[in-house]
Amino acid sequence: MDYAELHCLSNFSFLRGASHPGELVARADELGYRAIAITDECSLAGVVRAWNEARERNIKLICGAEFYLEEGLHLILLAPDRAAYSELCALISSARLHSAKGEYQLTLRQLRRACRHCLVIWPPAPQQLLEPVDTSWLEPFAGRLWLGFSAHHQQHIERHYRQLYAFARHHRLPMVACGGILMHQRHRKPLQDVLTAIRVKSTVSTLGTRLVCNSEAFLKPIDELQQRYPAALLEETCRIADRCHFQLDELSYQYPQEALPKGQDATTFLRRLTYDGAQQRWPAGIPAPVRQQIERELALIAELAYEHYFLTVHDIVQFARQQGILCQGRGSAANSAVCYCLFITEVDPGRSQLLFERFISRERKERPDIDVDFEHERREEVIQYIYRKYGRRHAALSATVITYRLRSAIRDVGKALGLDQDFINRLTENLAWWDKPKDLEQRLQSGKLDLGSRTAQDFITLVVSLMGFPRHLSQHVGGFVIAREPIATLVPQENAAMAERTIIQWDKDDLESLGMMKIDILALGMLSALRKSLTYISDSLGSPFSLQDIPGRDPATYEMLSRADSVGVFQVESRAQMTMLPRLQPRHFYDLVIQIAIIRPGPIQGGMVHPFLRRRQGLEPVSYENDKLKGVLERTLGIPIFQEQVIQLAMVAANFSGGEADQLRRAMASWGKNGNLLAFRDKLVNGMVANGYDAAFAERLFSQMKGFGAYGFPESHSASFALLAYASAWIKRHYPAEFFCGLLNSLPMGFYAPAQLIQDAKRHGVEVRALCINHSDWDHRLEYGASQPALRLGLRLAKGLQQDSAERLCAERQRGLFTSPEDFSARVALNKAQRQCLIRADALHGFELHRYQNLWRVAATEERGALLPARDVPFDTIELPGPGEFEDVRHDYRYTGVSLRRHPMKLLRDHPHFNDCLCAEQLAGQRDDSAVSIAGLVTCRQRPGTASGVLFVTLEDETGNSNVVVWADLQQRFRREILTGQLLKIRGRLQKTANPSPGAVPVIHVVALHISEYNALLDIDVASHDFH
Amino acid sequence: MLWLCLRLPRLPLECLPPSSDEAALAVVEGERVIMTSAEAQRCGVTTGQSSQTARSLCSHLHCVERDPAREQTQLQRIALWAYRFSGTVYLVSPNAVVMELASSLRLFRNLARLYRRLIRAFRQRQLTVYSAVAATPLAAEWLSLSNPPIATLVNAQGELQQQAVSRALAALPLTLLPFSANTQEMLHNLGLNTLGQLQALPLDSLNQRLGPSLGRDLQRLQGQRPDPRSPFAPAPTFSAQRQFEGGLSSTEQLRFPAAALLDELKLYLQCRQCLNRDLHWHFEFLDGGRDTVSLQLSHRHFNRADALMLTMLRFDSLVLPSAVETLSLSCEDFLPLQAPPRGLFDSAATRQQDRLPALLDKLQLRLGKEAITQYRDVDAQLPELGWQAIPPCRQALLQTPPPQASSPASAQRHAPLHRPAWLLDPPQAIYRHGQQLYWRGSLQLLQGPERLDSHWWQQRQARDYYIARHQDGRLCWLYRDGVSRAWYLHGFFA
Repeated sequence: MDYAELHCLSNFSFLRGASHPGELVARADELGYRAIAITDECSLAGVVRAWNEARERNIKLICGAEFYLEEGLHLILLAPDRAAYSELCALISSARLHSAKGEYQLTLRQLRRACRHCLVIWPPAPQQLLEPVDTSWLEPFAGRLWLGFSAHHQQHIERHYRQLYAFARHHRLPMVACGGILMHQRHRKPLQDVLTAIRVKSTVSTLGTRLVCNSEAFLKPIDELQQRYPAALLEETCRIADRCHFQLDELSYQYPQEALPKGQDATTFLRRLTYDGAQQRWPAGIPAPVRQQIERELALIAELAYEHYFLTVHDIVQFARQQGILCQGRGSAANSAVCYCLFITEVDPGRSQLLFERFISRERKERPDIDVDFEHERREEVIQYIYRKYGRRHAALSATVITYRLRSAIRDVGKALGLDQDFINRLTENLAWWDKPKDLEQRLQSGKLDLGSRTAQDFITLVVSLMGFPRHLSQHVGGFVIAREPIATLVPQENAAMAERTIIQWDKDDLESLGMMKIDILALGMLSALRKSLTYISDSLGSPFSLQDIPGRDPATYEMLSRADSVGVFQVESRAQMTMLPRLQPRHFYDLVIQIAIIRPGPIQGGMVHPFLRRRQGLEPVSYENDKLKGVLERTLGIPIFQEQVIQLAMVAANFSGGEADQLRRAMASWGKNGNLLAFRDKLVNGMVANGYDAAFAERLFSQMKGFGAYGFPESHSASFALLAYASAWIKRHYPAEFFCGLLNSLPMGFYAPAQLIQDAKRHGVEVRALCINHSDWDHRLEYGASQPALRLGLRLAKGLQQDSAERLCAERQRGLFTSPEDFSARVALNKAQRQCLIRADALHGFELHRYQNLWRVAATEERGALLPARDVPFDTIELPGPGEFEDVRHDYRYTGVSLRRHPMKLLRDHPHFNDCLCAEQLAGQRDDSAVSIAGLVTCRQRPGTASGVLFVTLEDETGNSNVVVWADLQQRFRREILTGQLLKIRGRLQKTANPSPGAVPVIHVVALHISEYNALLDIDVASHDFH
Repeated sequence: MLWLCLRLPRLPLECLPPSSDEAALAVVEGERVIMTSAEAQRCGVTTGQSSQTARSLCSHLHCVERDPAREQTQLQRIALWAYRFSGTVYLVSPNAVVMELASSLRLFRNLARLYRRLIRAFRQRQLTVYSAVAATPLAAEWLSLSNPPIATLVNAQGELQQQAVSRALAALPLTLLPFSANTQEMLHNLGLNTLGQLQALPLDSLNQRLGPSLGRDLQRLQGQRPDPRSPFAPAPTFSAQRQFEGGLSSTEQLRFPAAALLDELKLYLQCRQCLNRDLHWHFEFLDGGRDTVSLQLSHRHFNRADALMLTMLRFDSLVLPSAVETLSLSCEDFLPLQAPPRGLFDSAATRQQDRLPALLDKLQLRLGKEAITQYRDVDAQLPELGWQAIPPCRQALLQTPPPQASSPASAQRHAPLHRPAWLLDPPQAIYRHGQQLYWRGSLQLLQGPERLDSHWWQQRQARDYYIARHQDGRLCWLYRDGVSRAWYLHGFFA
């Protein structure tokens, strides 16, 4: 006896189905089903995952969906062929696009009109058979409509069957068994109940009959089905399954052709574009090795027919360049000679050809993958261009499946079980993303929940099984699908949260499985900052200056970076990077590539950082086990740093095949969402040990893989980022005013708040001028006149001020500078709140009045009714007492986040509490291990997950920043000070890392021994950012 | 005029049920800590922190969501109590009571004496209280925010020292005062810090810049502008209590506190212009036990002496199991002093409305309160959890159950289930011999199974239910337990 399950919900029917699509397919295959249909509620979001499982197995997958119509009918639609599949996609799209995100609406009328090929199963509710209903709707579906019957040991099942049978006879409709499956195995029932509770926002114990009454909606062995259903109903399932022959791989995806001029051949055209570009890149002639590489790449592209992909990316990049939008490609295929010639990327293959080992793989049928970063403020222009050029019918954004993580799973399961909110908070608190479910048990104990109790055990089981469940679909940050066929025939679309944005129901992994083209159109703040800085440099020079004009290999730039003078420099400005820079001493471009890649969870968790540093500093000889390893690891001194190297190592040292390596790469990318990676552990470690490698090294390599999973960082990305890092560092070194101006005008981005950037600018000799209604624009700008341009702060710093208010002010200023507070308020029609934003920010300081008095005078004009004649304001002669310097500083921080007056620490320096404190700049002159005290404003607190409980605190004083290390035991003792302190005094021991490189700056830390907090002296809302 | 303001700055915390002094408690509002216990403070928890920060500072911290309703109840109780000292009492949200004292001074001989009494009462109830006196209600209200020592405001004779009051007002930090956030921001930005600085500025100039409402407040403060307020209105039910340290062990000792509680009730009834129909005396004993004595009253007006006599008669018949720690009095059923208008002809419905409660009263008198319960449907999968017995409730008696909402979707998912009217508790084991089931006779299965599998969160219950015919013709409901495979009889169909 054969059986096909035709009604089966996966967990992509969010908060209803309690099994992954793959689990359902696998179970159906194990039970010997002939086919299984995944019929999620108005969705095809789970079918690709199901298909991935089905093609590994001997079972047919049927695509379908179920719908609850407005008329109260519940119908299951199955796609027998390609036309029906397109029809189903269109039906889902139209039902969803006319509803809010996550909802749908479908009427019988719409269905009758749009459903001409799909097979329909109707499992009527008992009442629907009793009530006299209009059955005329059955007509159009003649020959493809079945009455569905499911036997779940519900009450009155015999009666229901008799009624159904009578109805079927009367209307000459066939009957079929359909399971209404919600889970692949019975034991998921508690999870299914929890999902119901989450869906209706209640607890399982109060849901009563709103829960499914028993646990029968799972995939059953065929012999059990035979006991429950008449044989004819089971046979009918196979007849239906045999009518369905559509398979997802029939979706013959084709690249769009818009980027190719009419009548041109793609291969020839790409070749021409490439060599045209090469001429520009190497005006003196293309070096022979590069020419060879171009030929190799073009041959491969032609062989795999990827021309349209490169042409499309080229077309988008070309548009951006014409618009003056800075952009840069990255990703494996981006760092090819072809992409360099097409100006998609700037990584010169001549500069470092080692990078191109991993291009598109011939064996793996892997699609090329290029991500393009654009200026974050102008990405929307590019997106609109894509919609214009390819049309909304052919271009769409891919989805991101938002899944349950540990924290959200704990929160939702806890609520569903009715646990105390306070308790749930306690449990999720300080729960970092790298925490594993294993830690949960321990955490539950520390949360004082008796682990022996049923609830606790249920809780853990439920949390672990809920993890990885999809929660909803969201918009991908910028993944575009562009296709020759209308997207609507390939995959359903639905509304995203953002107005006017639609997404398809598949995510990037699904697209990759089906071999569809995806281009990531990403936003990068640093590109905006660079473009602005380049414009200012052009202004300063009086001639255009572009990214290509920045000279490579500038020793002064590398020297600056080696001093850890990197505030604001792309990718190397964090505290951790700053302590690494003096140790690594970057001198070449490739050093930067490593520098960027090394401070990542991968190399850190793999324990590769210190071995690399020792070799780099010459403390340890560089050696290789054999030549094969040398080939993989030579560029990183024998230590694996990059994700590619780790995968290559698995192939070279543990005999992974190409296909296995590819699976490994996928497993790494999904680490944290599932445990697929763990399956490779034994193979890796055993394989390496068998080949004579150290087991400990193999274990470290595996830890590194897990680290990459959390934050994958391939070499190609690092190389593209290194280019931007170098460019921003060069600008900072040679044009600091232009650099900071560009950066400040592109905020928010990066690691630092305006106050810290401005402090750094001042330390680099940039004259910073206060914001002023007579001189400032909305943006920060440069003022010329002195030997070096001065940075005039913009009105954007005034908290609460809107851009159009500032623009109106600037327009009015064209007619003459403002002469008094009254002149200002009379001439610029701003509302009270907007005007006060300016006064509070002390932008009226130019009138030689203090801020209180300015407000007093301006406020006098404000309460006058609009209808009263604008008579001269009666002038009272009251003079308010002015603020002290400290009060001024306090107001500056509060209303602009920045103060150009003396640093608060400077004002407090003579306070008895700080008698014994050194300034940040004095620390360098102290001996290693000497006792020191320092005090300053807390600008950053950071507890990296990779640094075993160490907390780093950055203190800022009038001379600079100092880094404080707080060990775990001290954190307990000074918890309050650390968590709430804004002004801290630290007594501790100076730690100066000896640096063997000649001329290198030492890395200085203060290891805290005692912490005291002096917020009371301060009461300033300093912009401190806390990172976890 | 002499106004006293009593302010309970720690009301959100102190209105909570008492807990040990060592408990680390924080009252939170919207995930922000707004008040902390001494222990929590010791751990570094302070007002304004997020509850997350607070919890990470103090691992044993218990966060309680602020309960404004409870605060208001407590405040109303205090306002009611204040009536014994003054005929004019105002509630000032969220945490103060203002009362006029000049007219009651003679009654209590002098201010110092009255004040001592007041403060003692708060101390007994373990309530933190701030207070201030002044010549206007607003001045008393604002001054109480800084809780100045009373001796600085009045002299030994209990006369208000105007100059001292003005000085204290002038020194008030503006940030304490209940101005809108906008006004506070503006005052801050003008560099104004104390009320004195504000008062020194010409009123016109201020009005011009800060709007008229601040100026009006300043005038009310000085009594230069009337300050009309609506007097305090008591809560819809009455409840008051007395606690006895060490406990009272004889009923006779209860006479005095009972009299005092009835006094409070009398004040309450006067305020509300109504008459109570019941008295509920709740005892809490030192050994942790509780008891309640209820009296139904059918009086036409409240007479304290009569009520006390009745009460003591009942108390005398009580055997106290242990010393009484708390005695409280509550009343829930009130009649307006004037009867509501009725229709000219009583309809059947209104007669029915009158009769049902009367019947219920009679039945309860005859059979005892516990003998009568009311059934309520509970939505649950397990049949034995499908109902609940609750004390009878008059309102529910009169209400007809609302018709079931019947949308097509809900009808489809919730068909009415066939359930027997009579359930056995506990289910009776069924004897099985071969294929035949016996329970005081043989049983024949007719229909089933209907499978239930639920309640895993306590103890999973998986049962296959069948309808069976007993040899005597009754229709029975039986099930087979999914785990033990044993058969049980669970009920009979009517």
